[in-house]
Amino acid sequence: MIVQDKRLNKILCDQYHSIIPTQEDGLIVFNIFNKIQKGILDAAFSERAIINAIQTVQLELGTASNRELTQKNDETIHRLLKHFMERSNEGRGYQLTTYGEVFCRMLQDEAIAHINPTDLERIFSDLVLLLKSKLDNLSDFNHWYEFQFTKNKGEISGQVRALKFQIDETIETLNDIVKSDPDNFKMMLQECDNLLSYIREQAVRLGTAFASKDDIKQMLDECNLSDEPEFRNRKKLVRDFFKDVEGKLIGISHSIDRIRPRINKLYSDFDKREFDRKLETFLMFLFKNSTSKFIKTKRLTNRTVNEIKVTFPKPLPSMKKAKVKFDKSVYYNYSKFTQVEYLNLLDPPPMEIYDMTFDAADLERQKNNKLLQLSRERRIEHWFGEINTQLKEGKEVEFGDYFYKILDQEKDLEIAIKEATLMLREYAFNPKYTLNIDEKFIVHKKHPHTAIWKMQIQQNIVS
Amino acid sequence: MENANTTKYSFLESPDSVDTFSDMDNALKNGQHIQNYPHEADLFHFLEKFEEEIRYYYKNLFKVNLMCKGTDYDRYYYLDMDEESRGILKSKSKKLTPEYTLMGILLLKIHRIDKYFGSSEIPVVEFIKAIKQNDEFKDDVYRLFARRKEKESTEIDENTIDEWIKNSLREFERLGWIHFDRTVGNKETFEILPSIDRLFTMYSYEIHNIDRLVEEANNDFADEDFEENEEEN
Repeated sequence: MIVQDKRLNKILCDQYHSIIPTQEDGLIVFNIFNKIQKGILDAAFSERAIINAIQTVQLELGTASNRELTQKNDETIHRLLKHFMERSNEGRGYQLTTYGEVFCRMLQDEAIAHINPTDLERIFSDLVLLLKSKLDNLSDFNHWYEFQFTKNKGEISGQVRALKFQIDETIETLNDIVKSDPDNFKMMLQECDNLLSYIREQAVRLGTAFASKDDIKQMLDECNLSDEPEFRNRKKLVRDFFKDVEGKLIGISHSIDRIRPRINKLYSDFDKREFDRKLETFLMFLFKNSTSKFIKTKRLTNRTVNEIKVTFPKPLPSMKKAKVKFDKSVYYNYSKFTQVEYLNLLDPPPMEIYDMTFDAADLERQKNNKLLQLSRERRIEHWFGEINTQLKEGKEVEFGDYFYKILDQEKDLEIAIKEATLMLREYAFNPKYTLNIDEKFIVHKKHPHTAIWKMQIQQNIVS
Repeated sequence: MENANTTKYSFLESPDSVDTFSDMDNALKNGQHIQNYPHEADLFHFLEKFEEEIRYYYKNLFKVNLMCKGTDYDRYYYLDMDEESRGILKSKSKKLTPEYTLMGILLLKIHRIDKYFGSSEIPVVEFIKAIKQNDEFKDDVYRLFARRKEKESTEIDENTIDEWIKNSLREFERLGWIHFDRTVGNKETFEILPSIDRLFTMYSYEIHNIDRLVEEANNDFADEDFEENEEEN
């Protein structure tokens, strides 16, 4: 055994770099494998196809050269021929070795792991079924372990890895959304949300499929081979593997639980941003469509302000339908207590007597003014009577003449002006009289600073 | 019957009611919103303790609903009319004037969306400055309240805008939407309380449908312009 290990180590030391390809070599093999899978190339392919693959990969990696380096290509082909390619059986061209194919398939599965709970259910079902018939002796169990369990371990781990991979992808997308704040923020968030729901669903299904592990554990516990150290050792490996997978599934479940609140918060942030935008638009709408009116200027302590009344726009048709107005009210039913003072009617307070002193001179002045005013009113009435008599006799009265006559006789301009006012008030709108005013001034030589428009009054003849 | 009523309004018999009920009742009927803040904590706890009974009391005797909105520490109470009582109690309501509404929404925008003030204590002087200097809406503020451009505004115009802001803040304090704290340094400051969210509730229809309303308004204006042109032709 030790000799074997030494030999293996030596082989690996010598050939490691040809068994494990460089990035460029690996991608060239994968490029050809992919083309064969898609039917672009036959299983047997030409050297030209290999050179094409080399050029494509070099272009992708940015290592392409303008010149076709024949020698370099030959070296690459020569290297790949050690483990990944071989001469075609038909003797023409090349084909991938089995190792090359397995390598590419593993690469594919590792890079793009697909979640497939149905496969996992089938694998576990097979494992349980086969184990039942392989527990009679150690040799059968070892066969189950090496050819059933070990072979499917990779598939089981791959499923869990695929879930973990998808969760990491979701987290990365969420981080991108937060950092870059894209226009289609809500759509991307929705996609993440859907993906997370899908992952959770798959995790539950994987968990259910994985429940068959308990059957395997139970069968191993109840098996009669417990005395065999090799059995116990392998049983432990099986249990450890299941424990490891179970731990990873729990971890995935926790990751989903951790992401969910983040998605909810992003939703809430989005809704908040949307609400804020709408609130700002509403504010601007009110500002732009409201009008204001100046009411009055008010003097307050140390300052003067204008009283302004703002009016909101009229409700729009859809608001009318929804019975909504821009003006809102709050409940207000506030009343103050009114305190009424007690009136002591039975015991009235004593009457106060004040000492009165009069200003005799002022009283005299007030009396004279009043007498003058009464005298004026009498004189105005006298002149009105005289003019009225003239009119009733059918005569036309030229008030301008009367104006100066009054002024001459009364020597009081106020009487003359008030008479003129009385004339206008009495005759201007009286249907029985016609009052004609000509805006030509009548002047009098005795009164050079006084003038009055020509004003004729006459009684209308009733037919 | 008497016993039944005693049970319904038993909060009136509680020892707390002597000190608290009258203040709580006055505050609620004055349109005030009550929340768990130090200056009104007694009223809030009384309301919280007898919530159902007090709700019944106002519904049964005043035909008005005791509302409780917000969650956890942001809960607040107020009286509101429903569709049915709105008609009956028309005289028992007070209009929130357009001037106050504009200021309320502006306050929410500056504080909550723009996060203009770092702390919760907002100095009144700074707040006035923020409104007058904000490029986004100062033109509209001057157009409405000074009725001229900022550059042409007089001292009276500036005083008028200051007065609008201060009056609005006083009204919001009466409603319990903000609280003045005059103890911070020499500056008069105020704090926005959770119940200012009532403004969102009041305008929820308009805010949620604003895109449609703007479109509708634009079409309306376009129709009016068209009609005017038709008349001119």
